[in-house]
Amino acid sequence: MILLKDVNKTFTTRYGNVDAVRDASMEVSRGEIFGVIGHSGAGKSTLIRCINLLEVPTTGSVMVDGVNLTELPKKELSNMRRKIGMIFQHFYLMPSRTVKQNVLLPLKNAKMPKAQKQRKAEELLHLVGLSHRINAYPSALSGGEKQRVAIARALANDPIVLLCDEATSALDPQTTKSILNLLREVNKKLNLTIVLITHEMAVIKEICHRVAVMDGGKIRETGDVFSIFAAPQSDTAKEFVASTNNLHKVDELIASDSPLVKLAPDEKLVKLTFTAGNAQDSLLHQASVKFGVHTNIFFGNVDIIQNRTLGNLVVIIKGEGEGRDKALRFLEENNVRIEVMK
Amino acid sequence: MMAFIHEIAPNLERASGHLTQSFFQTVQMVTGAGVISFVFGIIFGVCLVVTRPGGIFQNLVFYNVLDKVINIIRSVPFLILIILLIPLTRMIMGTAIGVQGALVPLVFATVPFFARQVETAVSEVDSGLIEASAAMGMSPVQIIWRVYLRESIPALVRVTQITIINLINLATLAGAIGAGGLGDFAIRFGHQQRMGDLLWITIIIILLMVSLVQGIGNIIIKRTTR
Repeated sequence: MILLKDVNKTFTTRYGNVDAVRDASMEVSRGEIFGVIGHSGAGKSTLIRCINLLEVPTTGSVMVDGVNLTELPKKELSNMRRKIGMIFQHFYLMPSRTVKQNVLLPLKNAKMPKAQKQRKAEELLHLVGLSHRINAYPSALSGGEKQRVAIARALANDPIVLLCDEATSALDPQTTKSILNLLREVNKKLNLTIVLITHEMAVIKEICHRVAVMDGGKIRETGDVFSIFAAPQSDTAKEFVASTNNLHKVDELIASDSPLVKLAPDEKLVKLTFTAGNAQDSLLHQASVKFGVHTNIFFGNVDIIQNRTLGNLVVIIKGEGEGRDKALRFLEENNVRIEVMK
Repeated sequence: MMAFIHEIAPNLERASGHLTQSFFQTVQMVTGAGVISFVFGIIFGVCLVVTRPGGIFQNLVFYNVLDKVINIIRSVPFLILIILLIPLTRMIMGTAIGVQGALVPLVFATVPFFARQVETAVSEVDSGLIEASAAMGMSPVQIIWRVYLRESIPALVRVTQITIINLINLATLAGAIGAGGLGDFAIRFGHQQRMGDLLWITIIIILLMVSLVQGIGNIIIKRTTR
């Protein structure tokens, strides 16, 4: 559905050139929710703007639905943009127009009877749950309501792609959740391909199927969300995954030589990552019975991502050397990733 | 009532014909120059916004030329502008005096002033709205009408108020050098013939005109501000 190939975007400023996006390639399939995560300044905003050519790539090609946008004449680009909805962090509703007029705005160029446009706007506002605010002005709406109007507006021309530029970054956690639910709903109902950019791993975890991790203008890593969470490869991805749980606290304790992590000579502190959805308790129990070791769960974090459990346990294993090694090998054979921390 | 008016403005009755004529001359100058200046001011003001660096019709040569021309005309004092423009005024209007002769310099003085203010008003439209509109597939021309102008209506009304009031001031000034109107009336009757009451009446009329412009403008602003 979307194919970016070797996209580069260089901005020329008074202070020299800034490479906002460097050699970015990515592919998003139809009906997918694709996330791009990165810190501010990573180039993700520029990247998403390259998809509808709000930013024209310096080099590289952008294909949407089989059409190479970089080669389109202006008029056809406008037509194509109607097939690509976009919502923004700050909503950008037209303040002088009512909720309904805002949704009607992108329909002004559509060739359909007036009554049909009206009906369409009303249906969309019903879809986003705002039928009761149809004649309100944006200034009277809450942030979540504004984003709902923006979504309705973005859907007015029956787009095949929806671009979300930090769409939940200005919202509180509860509203964020309801907007993400709405995005998931329209994704399913309309088989809409969604590309969203965010700096919050929680957003990726909540609704994305696949994710690209960006840093310094480059896409460092792309993969399905579960694998990125389970086994991040790049430093940036690792850092983002670490931000979603408290496992780094254990590292801090070790670094500060805290009495909490003082180990006896026959003890080892081990981090176990369960990715196969295997029963964590039972495996640990089996290991301790089979090899005569004591296991003591020091810290744990279990998450459900894309309907699969991802468990991280920090465990103190107590026992003589050979039994300990055997127990660890047994766990490894059962698809548990092992990292000896101390 | 008539006696009271006669009491406080003894010269009014004698000069009322001149006063009415002068009033309509001023109205003619203000509306004539106002309408023309409004159109050109909006056009040039919008041009400044859309052709400047990063604008939707970025054109640095055009922008810089327009920007400089506006600055140059704006820095010429109105009295000097009238004199400078006499040949041009004769060419366009056939005369350099009277209401017709005043229109050209009034337009020349008002357009740059108004264009600058339109520029400020229009550029207050959040650049995000422009981006969102482009993402919707609007053409640049549609963006000018539907977003830049439509979303800045309250600000445009505000600067129009200021400009009309400024224009009333200039139209009065033009009276000093043969354009007629209330300025001319105030000089001839109020000053040269020492009829102080007529001077005050002129001031009150102008005050009412200004208040009317302010009042109507404020109502529109109130209705269009969301």
